[in-house]
Amino acid sequence: MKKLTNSAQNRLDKYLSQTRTSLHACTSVDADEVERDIRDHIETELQGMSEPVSLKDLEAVLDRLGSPSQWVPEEELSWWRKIILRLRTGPEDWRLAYICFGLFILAFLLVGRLSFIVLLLASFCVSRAVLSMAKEPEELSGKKWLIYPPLFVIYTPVFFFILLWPLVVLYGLTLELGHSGHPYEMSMGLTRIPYTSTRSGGVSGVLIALIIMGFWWTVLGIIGCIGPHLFKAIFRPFADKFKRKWAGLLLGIGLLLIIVCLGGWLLFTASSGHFMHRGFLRPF
Amino acid sequence: MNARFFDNWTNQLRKGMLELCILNDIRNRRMYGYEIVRNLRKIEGLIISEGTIYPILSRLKRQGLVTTSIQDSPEGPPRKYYQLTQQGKDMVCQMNAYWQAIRNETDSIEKR
Repeated sequence: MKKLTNSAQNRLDKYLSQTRTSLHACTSVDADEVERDIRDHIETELQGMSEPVSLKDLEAVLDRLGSPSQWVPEEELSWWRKIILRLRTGPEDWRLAYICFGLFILAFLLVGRLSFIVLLLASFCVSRAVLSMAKEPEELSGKKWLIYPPLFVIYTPVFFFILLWPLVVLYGLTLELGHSGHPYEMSMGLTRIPYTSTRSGGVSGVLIALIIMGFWWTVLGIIGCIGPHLFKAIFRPFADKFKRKWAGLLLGIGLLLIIVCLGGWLLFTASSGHFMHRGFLRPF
Repeated sequence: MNARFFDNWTNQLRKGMLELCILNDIRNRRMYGYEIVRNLRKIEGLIISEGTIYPILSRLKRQGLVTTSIQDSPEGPPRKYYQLTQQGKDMVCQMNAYWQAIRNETDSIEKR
């Protein structure tokens, strides 16, 4: 065998050890024979290279050779052995995918406790790690079923929060003003905004809320147009096909909402003032 | 979507073709593992990772289509040579005939 540098020798030993571990569960293949095949192949590939062979040169050969787990004839393994094998010896991304799914299931078994949140977040982090390891979405193949559930569970509230957070803030604001979470009290809280009356407060409040929402969607749309990669990065891989035109659409809806609701609010306050002048409504 | 379809299709085709190519490669003379890999490497898109060849050779041996023999090499350690058995020769003839028929039919459909 050609002389290798220490790091290259360690790498080769690790590869051979992983191959042996993979073959441990397999009775029809002789691990010694496979190791001999691998050594012969590497030896022939390294012929002509100066000694000691560097880790980089060996790594190139091993890359071409492929993963240690491929030496196992999969058709001979039962399904549960395939899973155990993937957990023990499979490529890192498969192991991570199984760990991710395990954490996710465990989180739901402990629902209602603090550990639920912790495990769910851990599961989410592992699933993002699996995503980072996959250069192309196609590489995920069957792993999708293991890593998508925690992503979906976390992304859904995050998506709605990003889209609708002004409503949450307005709700808090009206609670502060109205001292109650009741919808009627909420609308009463909004009536404290200048130029709104007690009766017209509900309608004005809704219109103002929609204007604020429109403003936020416009900002969101502009951000999406300038940097669609931000959305892709946050909601990877579900937003991988996110396009600027969708951000443009959100921007358009936001602007339309502002124009329509602002117009409506101005008309409404003007007409309310007219009624107040006539004494139909008492001013706040 | 189209890229994925094409990838799936080539994967399926490759799996079947790899066995045929290996058997044809050692049809006329015995060869050692690396020699087979080197020959098949020339066919673009056929081999994704070179290590896939050895498990196939190992399976072909278990199925009785191939035999192996160890022989000393002047360039390094002893080499394991692969050779078709009579059963393997019959099988590769059958496979070639089938592949030829399929190819002819495919060509005729394509030219229509």
